[in-house]
Amino acid sequence: MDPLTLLIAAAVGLATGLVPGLHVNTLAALALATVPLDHDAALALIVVGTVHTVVGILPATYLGAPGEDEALATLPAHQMLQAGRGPEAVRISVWASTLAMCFVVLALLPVKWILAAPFQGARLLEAALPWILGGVLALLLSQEPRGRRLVAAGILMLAGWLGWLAWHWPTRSPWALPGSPLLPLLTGLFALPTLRHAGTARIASQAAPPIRVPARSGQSVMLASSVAAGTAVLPGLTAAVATAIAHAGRRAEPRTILASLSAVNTAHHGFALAMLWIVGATRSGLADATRGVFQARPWNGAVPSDLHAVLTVALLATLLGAAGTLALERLARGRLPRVPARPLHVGALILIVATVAALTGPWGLALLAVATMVGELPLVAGTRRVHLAACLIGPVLISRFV
Amino acid sequence: MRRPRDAFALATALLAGLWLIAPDPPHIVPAEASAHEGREVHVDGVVLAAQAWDGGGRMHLGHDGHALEVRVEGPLPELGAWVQATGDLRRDGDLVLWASTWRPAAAPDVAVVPLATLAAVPDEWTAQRITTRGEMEDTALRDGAIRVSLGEGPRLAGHVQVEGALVYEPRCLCYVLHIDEIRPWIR
Repeated sequence: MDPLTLLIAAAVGLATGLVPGLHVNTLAALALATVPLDHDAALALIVVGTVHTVVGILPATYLGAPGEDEALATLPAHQMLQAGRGPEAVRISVWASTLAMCFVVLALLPVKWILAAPFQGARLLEAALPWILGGVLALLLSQEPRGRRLVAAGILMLAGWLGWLAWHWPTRSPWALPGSPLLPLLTGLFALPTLRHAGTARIASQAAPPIRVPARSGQSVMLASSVAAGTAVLPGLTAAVATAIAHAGRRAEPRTILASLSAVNTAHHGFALAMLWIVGATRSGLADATRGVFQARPWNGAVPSDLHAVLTVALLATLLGAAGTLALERLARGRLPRVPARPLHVGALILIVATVAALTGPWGLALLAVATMVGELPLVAGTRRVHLAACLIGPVLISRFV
Repeated sequence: MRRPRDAFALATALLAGLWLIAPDPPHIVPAEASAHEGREVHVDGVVLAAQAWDGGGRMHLGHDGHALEVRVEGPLPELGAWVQATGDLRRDGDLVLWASTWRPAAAPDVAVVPLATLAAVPDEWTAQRITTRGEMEDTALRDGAIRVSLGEGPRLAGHVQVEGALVYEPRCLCYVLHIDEIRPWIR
């Protein structure tokens, strides 16, 4: 892959990552439908997808308009923006994403040994998954003050019910674009209530102090990346579910939570690319789109050359995505606080609703409306919004038990 | 909507409404699976292969020359049977139906294919349900000089009409006929 293609692909990823709600899998499906994939084109698509994953924190922070995978990260990021610390939120996310991709590369061999031969831990993980998810939900409830646990349990159950409905929801794009019900579900639960409650005040003036990585964030990033290794190997678990699991049990400050969520998102993306060689199956839309051009022979001995190429471009793309995100953040920091709040929020809202309509059609809009109502509940009842993560954990849990 | 009680009531009512209007999953055949990736569907087809393990297994459903892998928890249907499986279409490498349930379904009527026609190009008759006739022997169905080995399914002595699936069996380098339904046939 020549440097010019790499840079063009990174620029495309930066552009697509700024569109709230546009998921990497949608990009992969669109690319498959329009471009004949050879080896270089597949690597370029991986660059686009990786940069897209890193830059997604920008609309999540500054517009409160995340994609599927950044939905939970919106909570601490937008909170920091309102306190005038948006630049810091973006920088921490970029730092964590870069560290997480380095972790993916460095931990590849141990992860392969643990999940595949010789230890075959993936099977053990799959068997334990329902108990892990049940534990996560119990932990979420236990962290709520006693007086609010009943309300929190109600929100948890409604979110789980909504997630279960969404899992079976027949979204269909009017233009046959590939869309997932997760988009209306998560933007309805997390983004629209955030925008509605943002009020008419302008975005606070944003300070950009030197990055201060909170204590123990490094460990949090490593832990979150390890969670991602586990979720990436199991079929049916998306990066959004991985972030939901990583979010549970965290009562740390927003910076630490944000670092964990960004790390788990990027690490899930990286490990999902590598799973074709580790367990012989694809675990993401992007990996599935590119599997036809790579030789996925059983991995015995040295690292397969195609896996080496994939991880090299993913790491390069993460670095380019980090640089691009920081550059774009400087622009956003200077200009967005000067924009009146109402047009900004209304614009973000229109963009979200239009993306949902284009990718999931009228059924997706119906789901978006109900998800928005459920997403209002924690704000009205005064509980933590993380209980809404049950919309992702609940359906996986139910599908394993029922 | 300031009072939590009102907000909960409205959210519950909306969710119930969403649940009530949720449409039944579409009925598809294996050839249409890729257009429904990520969705819940009913898939109809004939059971071409089945592999059971503790608590579940996998099978391949075929129709009109296309086949789809189906993962099932619980018992598997008989080879050659026509079933409807319901579940989510998700990728595990290839596209797989993760079935929450399956049930025997009414098979579509298919024309009777003589054994000689099957024998001429057997590949064209796999991955679909077929009806054929012949004389039942111990391990084969014979029509004149043409014989096809029998796989799983019921047996009936004499001239019979059978419905089932023709499957290539690598262990004998031959095609076998798994029978789902059998009835006497008078020439």
